[in-house]
Amino acid sequence: MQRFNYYRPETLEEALELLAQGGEDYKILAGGTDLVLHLRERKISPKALVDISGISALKGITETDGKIVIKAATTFAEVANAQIIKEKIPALADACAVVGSPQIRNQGTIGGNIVNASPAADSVPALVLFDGVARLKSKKGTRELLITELLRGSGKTALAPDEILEEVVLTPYSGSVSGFYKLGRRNALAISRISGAVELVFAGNTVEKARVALGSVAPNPFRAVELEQYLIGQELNEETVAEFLARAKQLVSDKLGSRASAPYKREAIIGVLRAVLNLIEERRGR
Amino acid sequence: METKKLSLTVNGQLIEKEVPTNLRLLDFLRDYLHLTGTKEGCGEGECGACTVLLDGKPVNSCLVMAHSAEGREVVTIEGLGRPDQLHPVQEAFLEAGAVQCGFCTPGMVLTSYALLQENPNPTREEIKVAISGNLCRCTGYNKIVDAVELAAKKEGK
Repeated sequence: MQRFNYYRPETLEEALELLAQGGEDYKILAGGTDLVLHLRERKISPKALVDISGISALKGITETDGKIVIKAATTFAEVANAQIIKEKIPALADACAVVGSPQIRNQGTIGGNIVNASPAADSVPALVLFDGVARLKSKKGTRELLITELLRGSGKTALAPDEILEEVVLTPYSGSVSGFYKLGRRNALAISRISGAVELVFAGNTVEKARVALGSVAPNPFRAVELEQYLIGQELNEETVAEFLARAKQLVSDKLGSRASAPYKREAIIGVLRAVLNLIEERRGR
Repeated sequence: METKKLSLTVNGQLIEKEVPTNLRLLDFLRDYLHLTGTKEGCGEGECGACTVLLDGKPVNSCLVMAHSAEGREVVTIEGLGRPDQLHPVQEAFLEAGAVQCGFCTPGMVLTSYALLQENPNPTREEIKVAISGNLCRCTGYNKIVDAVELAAKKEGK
């Protein structure tokens, strides 16, 4: 493998100091499930790696005032198994439970999934669903960006070379039910072909609040506001669900245009979102 | 070549070595410690042949930098049992006929061992999910699942 220096800071401050010195020549290593491959394939040639996997301040999940804060170096397995995630934002538990394989889920981190900015990033639709905000830190200070603003297309982010993604802050609706479903070519280790996440708040049987996010449809996962607006005020029955799915199909069709995957994905989204709604119904105890 | 001191625990033994900074954990185990039970299959994290336990959890050692294991605990297949005293999971693999060419076996055994540590009585479905990151090129999956069920019974005794 190509040569580089290697640093393993134990505090966030040390890591930020290293990045301030190294800038674009230094790369952050967290879980390594993508980075180690990119190094071997020489897609990147950093002068040094800054391994943040030993920084305990970058791990863990907390809840304050209804907001859920996930530190960037928390692994998929840790997120998927956290009681608070399963209870409050099950869509994210669903998403993290189907990333890669058990081995990948024990290594890969939620922060890495975001900053790699893959269109097919499994956890990102669920993070976008809950209005995920990324807190970025550098020696100069802290700034906050919506994940949808941080992501700037396939493989691109607004992260500066001296910045670290410290944590994501999620704001679920109080009393909501949510779910996520991904369609891959097989169950394990498959890259998402298309995925969807939905969060609903019910007043009786009527949808009072709704969020919908889709993955692998555009360069980055996004909120489907037109679908959310349709759902609000509806009772979910055969007719309204059919109309919702028809609108989703239209949206995917508009987004993908004449891409080769469009005929497949505009049909597939119907099955994906139906699966998500079924999960939500199940979780409501119906 | 850039090198750095690495100290970690491998199979219960504290090890300190000056090794290159660009080494993968897989290469460290095989080339520096000669623990060749850990196999390199795809080298891309798809096949699980290189699975080792890092702080008790299965990971693909081809995707872990050696120095990322600093201060941590690694268990390889050599750490599970000895040829004259097999671990119950290893015994179960032999008894169930779950070993064909053997290349996936170290990874399968370690993944199964980690599953049984967390969940001593898994269902067949739970076993299949647990080993979904380990490919068997001989496709002998049914017997591997049988072996894990048998191992659960042996350990439950």
